Amino acid sequence: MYRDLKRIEDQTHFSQLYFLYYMKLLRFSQTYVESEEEAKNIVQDVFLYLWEHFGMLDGVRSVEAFLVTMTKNRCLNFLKHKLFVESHKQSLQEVEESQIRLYALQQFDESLNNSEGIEERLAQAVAELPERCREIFFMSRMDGLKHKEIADRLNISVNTVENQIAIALKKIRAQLLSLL
Amino acid sequence: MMTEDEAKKKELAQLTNIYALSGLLSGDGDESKARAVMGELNNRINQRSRRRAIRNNLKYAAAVCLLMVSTWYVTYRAMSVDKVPSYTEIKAPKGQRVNVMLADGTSVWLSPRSTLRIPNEFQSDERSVELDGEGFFDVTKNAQCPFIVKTGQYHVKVLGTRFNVFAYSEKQKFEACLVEGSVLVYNKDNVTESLRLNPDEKVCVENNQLVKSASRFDNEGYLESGVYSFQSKPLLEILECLSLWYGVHFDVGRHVAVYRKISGKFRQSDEVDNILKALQGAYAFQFKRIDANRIQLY
Repeated sequence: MYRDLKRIEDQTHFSQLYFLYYMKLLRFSQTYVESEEEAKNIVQDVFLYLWEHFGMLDGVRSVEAFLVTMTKNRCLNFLKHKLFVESHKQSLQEVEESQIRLYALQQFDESLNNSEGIEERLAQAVAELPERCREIFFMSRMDGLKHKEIADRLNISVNTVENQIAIALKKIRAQLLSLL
Repeated sequence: MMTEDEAKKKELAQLTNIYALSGLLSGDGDESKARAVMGELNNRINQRSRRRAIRNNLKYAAAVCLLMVSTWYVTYRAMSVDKVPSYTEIKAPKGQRVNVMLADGTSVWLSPRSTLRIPNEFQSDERSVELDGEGFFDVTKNAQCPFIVKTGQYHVKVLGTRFNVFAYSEKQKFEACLVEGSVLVYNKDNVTESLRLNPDEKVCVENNQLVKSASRFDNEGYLESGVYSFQSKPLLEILECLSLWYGVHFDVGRHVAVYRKISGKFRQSDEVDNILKALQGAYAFQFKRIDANRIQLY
């Protein structure tokens, strides 16, 4: 009886976590793992693992940092595998891009994500972006649109889209500099 | 100083990480998008637990298989014991007799330097033992399960009797003497060469043939007491017995009349020298030891 109750509680808790973090983790992993399919696989894998080891969460201070770390590790494994096993199938440019993403991921500091007020600072930095710039950044970041799709929608060149996103990132970085 | 490439790489990594970090911001419709793919995850969870259940069932199936195989193996081994029985071998040392009580209650007296091989467990349809030497058998009756004494060439099959078998492999002589009941003596290679003995009859082999003659086995007492008594037996026969019992070889001089019959008794546990000394009282001869296993008579 108690176990059933606990199970139901866990299920509710699990669903809440899933709704809250699935898209966040997907966006995160897709930054490093290019393929959307692979990124989805990785995030579902993380939640599958979480479901099977749900008791683990009891000792975890920040669920978000915990999930991000799990996702990061899975992305790292994926990139390493891709680089060292499948590199012969890829062009030199693809390998180079993968290498940079692997390097970036290795540099990614989870404690940054865990640090106090990062989310507010980040949200504020995004909000302070010029409107056009923010719109383009959101389309890319939140809606997952490709540069070409954004360019078509806004009737601008792909080059402009890329520039605007680069500007957005640099402005956000400037805002976060004290934390980085 | 960082090279330009390294600095560029570092900046790119930093911007990538900021892009990733900004992905962790909540977006509109995050929840509904997640709801839409929750089914996929549930499928995977169910699939996993189904697979786990199958794996668990496989575990049980494997355990059952293992149990069946080992049961079969143990049974097979137990049955094959019937086919290839393990034996216990009992040897009477020289100059000494041994009494053996078998599992079915049969008692066997073994003469010196005789060997009896008995299976550790009798088969269900016959009780067979192997004898090299001389043995007096008092067989417990069991009509369903004949008792068979196997010797080099001849087998003695009985249901329940008392009889003596003499069959040292080092001697040509085979002799079986019945005291009570009935026995069948047959050639192991040719079962039609067989003879049925009645009490107080004996069978021996002459010219490779079984020959029956009247005889009284009067040495049951000797088996019990260890005192061997003999009535008008030729010296040669007694020397042959001694030779078998003590594992010695006699060099008999020309002047010794080995066919002269003598009577007497001696204790079997005595040293062969003492027995010869006793025989000297009944019949005049001299003897000396040549070595441990040879004695010269003259």
